[in-house]
Amino acid sequence: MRIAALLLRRGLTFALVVVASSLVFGALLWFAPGSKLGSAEGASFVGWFGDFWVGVFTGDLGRSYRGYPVSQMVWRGAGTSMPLIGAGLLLSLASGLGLALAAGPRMRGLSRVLRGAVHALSLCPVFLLGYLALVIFAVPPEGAGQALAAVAILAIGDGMLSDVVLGIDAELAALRKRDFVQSARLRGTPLWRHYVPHLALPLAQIAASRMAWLIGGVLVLEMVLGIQGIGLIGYKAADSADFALLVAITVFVTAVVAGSSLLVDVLRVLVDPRVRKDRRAAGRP
Amino acid sequence: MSERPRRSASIGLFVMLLVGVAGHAGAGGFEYAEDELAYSLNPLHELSMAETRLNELLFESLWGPGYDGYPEPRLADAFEQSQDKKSMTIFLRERLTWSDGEPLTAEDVAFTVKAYQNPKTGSPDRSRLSFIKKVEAVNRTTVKITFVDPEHDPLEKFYFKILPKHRFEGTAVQRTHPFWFKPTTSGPYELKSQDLGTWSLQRNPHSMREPAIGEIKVREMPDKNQQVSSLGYGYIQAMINVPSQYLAEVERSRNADLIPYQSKSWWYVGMNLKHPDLKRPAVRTALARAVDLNESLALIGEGYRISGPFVPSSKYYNHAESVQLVEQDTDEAGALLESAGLSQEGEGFWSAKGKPLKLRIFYRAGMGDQGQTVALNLQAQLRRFGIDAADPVAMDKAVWNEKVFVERDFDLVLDSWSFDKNENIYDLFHSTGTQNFVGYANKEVDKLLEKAIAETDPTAKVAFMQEVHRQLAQELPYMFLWSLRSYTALRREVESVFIQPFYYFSQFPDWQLRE
Repeated sequence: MRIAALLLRRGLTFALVVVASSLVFGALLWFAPGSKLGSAEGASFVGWFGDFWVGVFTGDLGRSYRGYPVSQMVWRGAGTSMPLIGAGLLLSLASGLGLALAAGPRMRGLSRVLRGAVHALSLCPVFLLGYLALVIFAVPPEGAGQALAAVAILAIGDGMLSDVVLGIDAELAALRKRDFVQSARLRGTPLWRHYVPHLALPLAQIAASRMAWLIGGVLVLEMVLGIQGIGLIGYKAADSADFALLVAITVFVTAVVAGSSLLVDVLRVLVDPRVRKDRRAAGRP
Repeated sequence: MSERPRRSASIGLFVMLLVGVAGHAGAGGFEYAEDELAYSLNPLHELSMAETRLNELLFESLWGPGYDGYPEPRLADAFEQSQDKKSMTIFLRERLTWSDGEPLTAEDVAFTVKAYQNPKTGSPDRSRLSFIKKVEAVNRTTVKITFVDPEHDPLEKFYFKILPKHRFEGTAVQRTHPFWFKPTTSGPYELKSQDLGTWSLQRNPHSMREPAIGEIKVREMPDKNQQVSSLGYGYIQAMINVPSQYLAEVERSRNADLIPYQSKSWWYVGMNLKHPDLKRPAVRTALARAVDLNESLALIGEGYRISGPFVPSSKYYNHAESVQLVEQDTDEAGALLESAGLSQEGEGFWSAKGKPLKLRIFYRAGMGDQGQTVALNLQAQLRRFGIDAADPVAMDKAVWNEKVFVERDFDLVLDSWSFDKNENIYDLFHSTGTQNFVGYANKEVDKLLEKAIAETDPTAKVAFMQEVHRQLAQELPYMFLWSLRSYTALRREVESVFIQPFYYFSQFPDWQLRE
């Protein structure tokens, strides 16, 4: 029951954040000087806000400037961008884990050089990696080659891989000092079996904390590679004053970022018994 | 252990390369890139050059530009003009058919004219058809047009695209009418499919001009680097406009050629005539004299300086000696400002009654790097001269329309205009013109523009327009900058290419794609 109450609280916070984002962003667009939303005859902000949320649940958010249904554009954009973000995240976590485990507790020689190269490459902004990929790897304007390039760039660029490697390094360093790892080492059993379950939560936390970065990165990358995802659609919506579409995309992006945070919270409650213990000790549900 | 990640990275890069090359090999048909995709396939609501180009492929007009630049019949077969030149009978070709199999008749022509002219349609090209007073379908293949005034040489005015009457409920055609994404076409191509980033066309089996190339794909590529790279690797066959900074790169390519083509497009700095200082011609001339426009032009490429609202190759351009390009002369600029009551103390800014002349510079974000470069250069030059010019601000389309066209809240704006063959500047400089955002009002120019638009004798029309040019060159509601030399890039496998000014794909049915 206590876990259910905790999850309910988290869920409510998530809903509040998403609704607040639609309220704030909608108000900005509505009351901005010369706003097309606010200047429509007989229109009221409260009415628009209500209609918007009814539309979210009925799947009818009206039509965009381009004539397509807004909900359809958001889903199509999300259907393009979210797999790229998800795959980029997974690739980054997997590569980061691989690099951290491969290097071992004391980095030497090639490991150190490789690690340095990874950090240097990872610090490149996504747009730069995009241009390099265009010129060097002949990234095609559609298809698997384009998706592969986008995933690799998202997994590496804007400090993504660097952050992941450093985060896992820190977790591994802490784990290596734990008694059960020491005894496993003495027994000669494979260490990864102990590492992986204990790294699941930190990895999820790293993933959640990088979500906003990834969405920012995907926007830039979609511009560079001409991918019709949520970023490019959002940019064009802003450029053509397509407010209905812009609000919908903003709320969607907020929901993704807040949702990833919620997911980590849920995971933490379910996976880590210490969280439940701590909360009981503090007299909180 | 440390070898493994390196090996994985190498495999990853190799796979990327393979997939890329596979994608390249799979490309078929003709594919070209646009910075921004056409929004609408309804010629009634054509707003951008991307839409103009696409509509060239999808729709036919009564007459179109021929190889020699003169009108050649398309849907029309022949015509007769009345002796007083006030009416014209157009005979359509026999057995014309729409892409859905319906016959294309005189009723479609009459409907199209009425739709363009209907104010409820809100077509941006409505004024192009204002020369037609009445249109009627006499029979299946004969249309009678009555003009507002006698027309001596009207064929070039019939370049507008004809629409299928059976697809519309009335002549008031809203922008959101489903025709925009499900068109019925008469041109060489019909729509095959569309997605958020692409329009795919296929040969229209009912077209009167059978194209050699079977399929076309138009792809949105907002980034020019991607366009250049895709052209080089053969993912696209054409890059419509190559900005100057990419010319060298494309020129080096072994697979593509640069082709210069004329565009009827020119750059300007519009000055807000509501501004207490800018409303005085002496101040406007002083600003134009204060800057070296050759220096600004050299920063972004090659082009032709202009003294008025036409490109130098235009028949309306006034080449008279009395109409000179405004060249930099800071002494003269200073004298002009002094004559307008402004003063400058030492190295300070010019001011009127102790109030510095402060100017904001806006430019359209769509002008990209070139716009930014010119705006920054002009700001620097104005500041050097002693005008307190603020940092230039780029504005996207929505803000631009609001700020410049609706609120008119600006001082100087940098932008460009593009025209079709008619080079109609009426709306830009007539006091009631819909695009006259600077607020220019000159009764004499109004009369000249009215006469020019009504004039049917081409020679007289040229004279009126050249006089408009002369007056605008004197009064400078705009600082007229230049017409950039335009280049397009095409892969070498594309053959029999002919590109007309403004009408990029007009002769596309004759283009060939070598396997």
